[in-house]
Amino acid sequence: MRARPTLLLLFLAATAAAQPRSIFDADDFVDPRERDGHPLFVSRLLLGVAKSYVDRYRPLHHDAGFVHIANSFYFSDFQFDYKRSEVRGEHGVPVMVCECEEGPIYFPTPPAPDATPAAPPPGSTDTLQFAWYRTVGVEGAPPLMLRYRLSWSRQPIDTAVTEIATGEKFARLSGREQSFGLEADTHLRIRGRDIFGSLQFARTKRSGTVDDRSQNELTYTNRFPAWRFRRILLRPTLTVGGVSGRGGTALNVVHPQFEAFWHDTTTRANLHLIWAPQTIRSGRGGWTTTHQIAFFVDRALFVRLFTNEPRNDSARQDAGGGAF
Amino acid sequence: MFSKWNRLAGALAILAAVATRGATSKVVKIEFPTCPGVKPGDVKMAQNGDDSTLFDLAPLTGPGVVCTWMRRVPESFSTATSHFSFRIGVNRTGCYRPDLDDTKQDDPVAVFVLACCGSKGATVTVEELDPGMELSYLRIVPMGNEARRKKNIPVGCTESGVLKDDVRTVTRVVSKEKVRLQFRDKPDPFFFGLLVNDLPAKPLTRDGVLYQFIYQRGKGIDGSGTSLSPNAIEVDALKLRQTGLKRLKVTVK
Repeated sequence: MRARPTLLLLFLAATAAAQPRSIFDADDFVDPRERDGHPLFVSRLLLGVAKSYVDRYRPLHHDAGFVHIANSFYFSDFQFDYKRSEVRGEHGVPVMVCECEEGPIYFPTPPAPDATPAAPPPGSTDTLQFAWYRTVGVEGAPPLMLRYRLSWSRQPIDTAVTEIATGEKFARLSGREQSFGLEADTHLRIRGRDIFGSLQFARTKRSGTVDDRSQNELTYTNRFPAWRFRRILLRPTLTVGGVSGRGGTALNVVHPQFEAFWHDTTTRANLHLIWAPQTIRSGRGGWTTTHQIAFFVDRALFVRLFTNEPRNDSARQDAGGGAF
Repeated sequence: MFSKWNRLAGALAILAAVATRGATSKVVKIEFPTCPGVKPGDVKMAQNGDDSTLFDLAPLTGPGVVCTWMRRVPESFSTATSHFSFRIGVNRTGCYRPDLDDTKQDDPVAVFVLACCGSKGATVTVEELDPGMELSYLRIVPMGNEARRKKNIPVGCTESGVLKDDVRTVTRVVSKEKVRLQFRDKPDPFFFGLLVNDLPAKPLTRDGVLYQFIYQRGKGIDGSGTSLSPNAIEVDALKLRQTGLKRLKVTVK
């Protein structure tokens, strides 16, 4: 009897910590049934640009370019990922400090506690993920597959602070931002129609900087069915939820996203064009909308399905460069 | 890994059912209130979703006996957990659990009383495929509404079969029934496969089939929500290459 509330608490604690995927973090769901139970390793490179980049519901107010490498290992009903992303772009003006009588005052002044926090400066982020796939039975049909995923990511943030009066270097802060969370796929059947989505809960904390902040995110993303225009697939999603640490409570994120996706069978590259008008509310600024647009290309660098069958040279050639 | 647990659950369900009702049978009888146009050799049945092994039923004759067919099957089955569906000429029924007639205690009969007959089913034909290619299919059958006896409980069921070299058709496909192709020699009832109902009528190359997999996954009709996962595309592409598939054409008439 005691186990049940403990499990519930564990679930809530974990759920209290999932991170929303970056706009350029491509979907990596692979149904274990498609692998016939064989282990699979995929290393994928992704390159792209984003206009009005937004990092975890915090607009950067600048454009950004990014390189992202995702290494995914699938075995049994589990998935491990290590991902590294490098984001490059402008980030306001250098930080200056006034050693005033009432204490150090930083410029530009960090956003107030009831305002939307500033995005961390573009940099490198490492992410580790662990996922578990689970089947859900449906009478008279093959079972559905849902995924539950824990994520942890870390971004170092180095800040050079200059003395405003002298223009000399005042300090160098070595800070970081960490995010921990859980993403759980959900399925509902309403009047015979399957509704798929995911529930995310994340905690993000920035420390050791001139603008230390933390936020909790609880969001639900509904993934609508894709439709097609010629060979291009168009898929909308809608994320709604609440993010703390910016004044006010309850629902303050409405985030539709429209993705155009094209797979080129010759080069095995995937092209993504995403428009994400993200509307967020803070106590100070009210509702504001940021139109984030991203374009990126991804391609597998290495793919290996660990079957017991001998490797087929012609298939390897087909795959392009020894990937199989 | 999934099938192991599901098979275990199935075995436990049979044990539980046998323990509670203790009814096993080897005889199936089906009665139709009326059966206009149905010829004596028109009635067949599929047991527990095996669409490749259809049993012919023999008509019963005698005073006052009309529209009744019967069959003795080789293996005994639990009337509590087994399900059957029937083929009647160009039609089919949904899947049902039998009622039990245990008048003869040593030879109980699984009885069905169903309405006859629905509208003509469609035929799915797979063409332009290499003769040696292995292909299986699933039929995800909607709940039937033909039952005329309370204990003939309709169940949602998945039937499966193999498309052999000479006969590459799935017949009597009714409205709302979903047929899924699997590029493997034996059907896997726990795996979805390519939804035939959603395919274009024109011939598809291997890349065209791959695109259909991507599209169906994007629509969320492969049992795992909508997804545009590039890693899943790699797996599809690899497996399609391994099958040796070059062209595929599927017609539904």
